[in-house]
Amino acid sequence: MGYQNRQPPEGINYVSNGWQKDFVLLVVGFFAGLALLIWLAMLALGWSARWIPFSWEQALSRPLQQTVEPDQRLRYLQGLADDLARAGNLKKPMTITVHHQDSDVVNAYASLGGHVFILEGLLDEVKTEQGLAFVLAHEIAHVHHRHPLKATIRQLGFGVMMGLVFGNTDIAQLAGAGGQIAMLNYSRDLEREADAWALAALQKHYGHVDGADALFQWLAEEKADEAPPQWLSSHPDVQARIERLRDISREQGYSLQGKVTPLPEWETASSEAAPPTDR
Amino acid sequence: MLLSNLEIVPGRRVKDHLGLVQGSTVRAKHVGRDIAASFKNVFGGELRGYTELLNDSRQEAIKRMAEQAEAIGANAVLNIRFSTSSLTQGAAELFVYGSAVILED
Amino acid sequence: MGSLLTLQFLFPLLLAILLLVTGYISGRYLERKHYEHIIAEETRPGQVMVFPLRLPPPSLSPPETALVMGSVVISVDYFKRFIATLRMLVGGRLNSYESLLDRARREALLRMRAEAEAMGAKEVFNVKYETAVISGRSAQSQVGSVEVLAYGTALIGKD
Repeated sequence: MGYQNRQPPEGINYVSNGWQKDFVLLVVGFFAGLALLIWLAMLALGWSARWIPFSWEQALSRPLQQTVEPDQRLRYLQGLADDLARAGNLKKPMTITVHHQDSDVVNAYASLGGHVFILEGLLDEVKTEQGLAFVLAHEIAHVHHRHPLKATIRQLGFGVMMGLVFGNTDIAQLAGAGGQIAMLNYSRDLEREADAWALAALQKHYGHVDGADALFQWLAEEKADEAPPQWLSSHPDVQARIERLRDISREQGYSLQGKVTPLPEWETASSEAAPPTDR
Repeated sequence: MLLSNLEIVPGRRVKDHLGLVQGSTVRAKHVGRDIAASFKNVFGGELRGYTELLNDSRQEAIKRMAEQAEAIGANAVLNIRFSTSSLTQGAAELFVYGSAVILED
Repeated sequence: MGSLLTLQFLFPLLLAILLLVTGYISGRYLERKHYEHIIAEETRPGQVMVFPLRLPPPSLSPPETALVMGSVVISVDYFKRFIATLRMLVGGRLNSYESLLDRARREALLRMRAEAEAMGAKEVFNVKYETAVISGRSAQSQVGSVEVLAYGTALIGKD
């Protein structure tokens, strides 16, 4: 009858080994593209911060406005901050508002709108005014360079971008992890930037930078083994930071010797009575 | 009941055409099968559970179509077509239709 | 604490790599086995012949006819799906899914032929394919599988 089935050769409708090359190309291309995308996104988002006026930040952070009557200690901190801001030439419309927070954690941070938070633990561990002044100046530097705003924009903008590009897939998670690492890397850059600004402000205010690294000395001694590896940390390695401060001082000709004053005594009663500042 | 997806039956004549008959069934798979399938999804390969489920469902759809044909007095369904659609997540419709006819002798 | 943090961060990555490697090895192994089986079956002497022709050949002794079908649900392995997700960013040929669909079609056809053979048929006419995506319970589970159905009319010779 002439009815028969002939077997067509293999490999016409599919390439049996075509996808290995595909895979290598795609993976390499993907990571290169992702790195580029993250880099561009971070740059653009960080850059966009300059078009957001400081008053917007202040409006956003209005709920942080102080409601408690400032006590002696807060007045001292605010005064020191104002002096340092003047010494460091804080950009014009910006203002610093210092808050005190009842927490044992040895830390301080800056938030949107020029709000700087000093934690009780820090005041306990840093015994000298210069040591405290450096931390304060460092946080003021964050405000000066608008780091809290940049970080917020990056965090939000990056999340939105990745969601748009990758949707809800495994790859989005991978990209998110890459973004976090990049974000931490930027964060370390910002810390270094803030350190340099703070050192300059200290030199201007006191005429020397002696005692500036008091907090880092304490961190290096007490918390050395708790530190995460640097690439996973938002702050540079403590030891490296101490050395960097010294290098900057030498380069800029800052005086490393000077009069270090202890922190003034304030009424302990007020510190106990102070209600925890709101967040 | 003679079922065929040809338009004719070799050697026999169609006496009457009775129109369209169809059978359909919507089936959902249970969670256990989905869990097994999600494991398979790492390794690849056939999902036997799904294959069986869909085959059973399709047989039922055919049975329903044959029932329709019998009810209208046909003794064969010609030019049968199948259609499968994923209705929602985790459920599928199996659909079969054909032309009911009465064959001579 | 430092090493713990590193682990926490690396764990999803390690899991993804492990799944990729498992998917790659098992997927490749299964695919090779499957193709060996398909080719052996297709070229077996006496295998039922298939024709997607509308009409059967006119013959002196008209054969019996019967509807036959074969189906298979096949799933994508993790590795192939991963390549596909990357591929979908740039577009182009999805090599990894092509072989999958090819396997599914041929397997379904083989099952149909087996059914016809069991009835004593030599040919199947008017062969049609039906392909459907079978989705998982939720979009998140990403159960990617395809059902292929092949059906036709088997001609069972009377002589």
